[in-house]
Amino acid sequence: MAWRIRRTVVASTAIISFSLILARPAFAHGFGQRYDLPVPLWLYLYGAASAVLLSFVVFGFFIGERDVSGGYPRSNLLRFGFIRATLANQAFVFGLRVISVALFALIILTGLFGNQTPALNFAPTMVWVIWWVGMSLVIALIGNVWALANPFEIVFDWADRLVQRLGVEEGLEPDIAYPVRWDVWPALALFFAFAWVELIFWGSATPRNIAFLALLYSSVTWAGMSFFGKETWLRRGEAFSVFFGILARFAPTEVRVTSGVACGECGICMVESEDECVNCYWCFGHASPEHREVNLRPPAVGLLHSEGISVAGVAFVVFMLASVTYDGLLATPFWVSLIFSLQSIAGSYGALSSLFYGTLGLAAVPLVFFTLYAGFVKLCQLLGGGAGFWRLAGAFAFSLVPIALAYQAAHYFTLLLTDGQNIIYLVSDPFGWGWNLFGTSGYEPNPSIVGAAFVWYSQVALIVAGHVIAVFLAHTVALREASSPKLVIRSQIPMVVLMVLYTVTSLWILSQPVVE
Amino acid sequence: MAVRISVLALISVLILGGLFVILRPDPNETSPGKRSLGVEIEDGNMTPEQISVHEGDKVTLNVTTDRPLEMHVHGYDLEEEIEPDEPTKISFEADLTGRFPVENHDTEAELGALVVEPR
Repeated sequence: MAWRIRRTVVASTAIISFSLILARPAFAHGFGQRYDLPVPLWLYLYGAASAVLLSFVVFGFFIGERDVSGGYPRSNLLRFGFIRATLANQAFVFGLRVISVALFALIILTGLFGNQTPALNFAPTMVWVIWWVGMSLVIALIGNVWALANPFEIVFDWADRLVQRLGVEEGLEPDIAYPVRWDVWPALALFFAFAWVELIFWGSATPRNIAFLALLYSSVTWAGMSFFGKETWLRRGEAFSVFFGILARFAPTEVRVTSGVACGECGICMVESEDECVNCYWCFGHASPEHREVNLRPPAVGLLHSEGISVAGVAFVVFMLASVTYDGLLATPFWVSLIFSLQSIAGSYGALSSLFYGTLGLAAVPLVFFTLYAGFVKLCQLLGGGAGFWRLAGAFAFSLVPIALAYQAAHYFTLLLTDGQNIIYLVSDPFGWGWNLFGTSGYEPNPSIVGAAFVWYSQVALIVAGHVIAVFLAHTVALREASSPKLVIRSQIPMVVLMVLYTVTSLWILSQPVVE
Repeated sequence: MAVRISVLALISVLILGGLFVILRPDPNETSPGKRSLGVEIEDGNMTPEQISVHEGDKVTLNVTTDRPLEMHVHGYDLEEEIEPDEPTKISFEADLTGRFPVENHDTEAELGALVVEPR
């Protein structure tokens, strides 16, 4: 039975991929329009200088500190009846999951059948603005709502239960063990494909393409789940679960199971030293209420627990960091002139040039990033007394996440504020057919909801804040990994230098004139 | 520990404040005034490609074109039919800051941008 389902899923993947080839590029009129001005030079210098000087202040905070236990203050929110009545309440969670699947279905339907002008269709705004930008920020700043409301997981879960109820005892259980060596490489490959669609593919704003791509991704995900098991695929192959899982480490909330017994059954999560596991959603779903905690915690501390991160995991984080920077780099005059020079060497391909060089860049920039990063990690290793290279690489990669997150927030929050307003009229007219379900279809978004100066200051503030948090994390990592207290300061200097470079690069990108 | 945090917080505030005072350029001496700019659209390109004004200016654009088109300024949502041989005046107050694309509304091709610098 399961194999028949698998066969169908794989076949539909093939069909959908083929139809994508036939998709035509479309003009993304009015969608994704940016009104930001480049950050002026004086403010760019201010940001850079602040980042450098505040790095020293962070050092000052750590003088004489010896605590490397990695513990952090926590407060269990499940004490509050309100939280128990919502997050721990099955009916509430079920309602959220139904809404998530309904929105997903709406994206597919409006994408396939609705008005194909991006600004008039629910799909582009919902996917690129509300979900990709909005949900990323919610997950980083509040908590991992994707783990709760992942439509791919929900639909598979429902299908599994249905199949079981129809008499097939093992449901959609896998009988293929996931090859250990694959690790999170499948998730990285899929995330690369997603980044390509987001940054390079000219038709990424076309509603129909969005629907096709969503269906394609669903097929791949469900195929993966049916072959290897839902939980395994979520952790190893589902690109967004892995991505949002990393962002969720920054968040000031976590879920925790305080019973080793429950975690032992799970077998997949990395169990913390005291028989507890953090952010293992399977364990949380299966543990008894007295062993479950939803904790408030200081932001970014989740990024300190990098034990067990593998080579593939490091690669994933590095790709995340590099692709965020690459996103900004693509719109700079520097990049345009670079392509121009490359074209005289490697040839111009007419209209396909930007596609060709863009794709090349998407592969090359992360590799360059990784090489540079590895060099700095090596220096840290040599100065710190020789902790394992990949162990250090994993720990420090996580400590860089706040810088990437800050850049992403700085770069995209205005998009959320301007194009995000589209959702107001789109809820009344999702297909762009002239409906007016809630009376808001006549709403005209105000593109100047915030002034250019406010945007500048916010962007620089975010970037400097991200940098300070990153340096804080790097210092904590160094404290933990250096073989003797005397080496702590020295061993992290290369990493702090790299962070300054990364932060200054982010600021530089924001100060560049925008090339359309 | 609390003392140390307070001291470091104070130092941070001094750094952030001090740098700001040092690096911030002097506020724009000229007060908002009337600006009159000539804009030429030829062959799908706008000259100047970027119309730069300051927040609060009362701007008048004198637009000429080689081909009839409908010019649309995003953000301000200005739309004017421009005919060749008929220079058209478009007046507005630059109360919104940012970079606002100017396009040919019929072909949806971008001609250039209106940049309104904050004060």
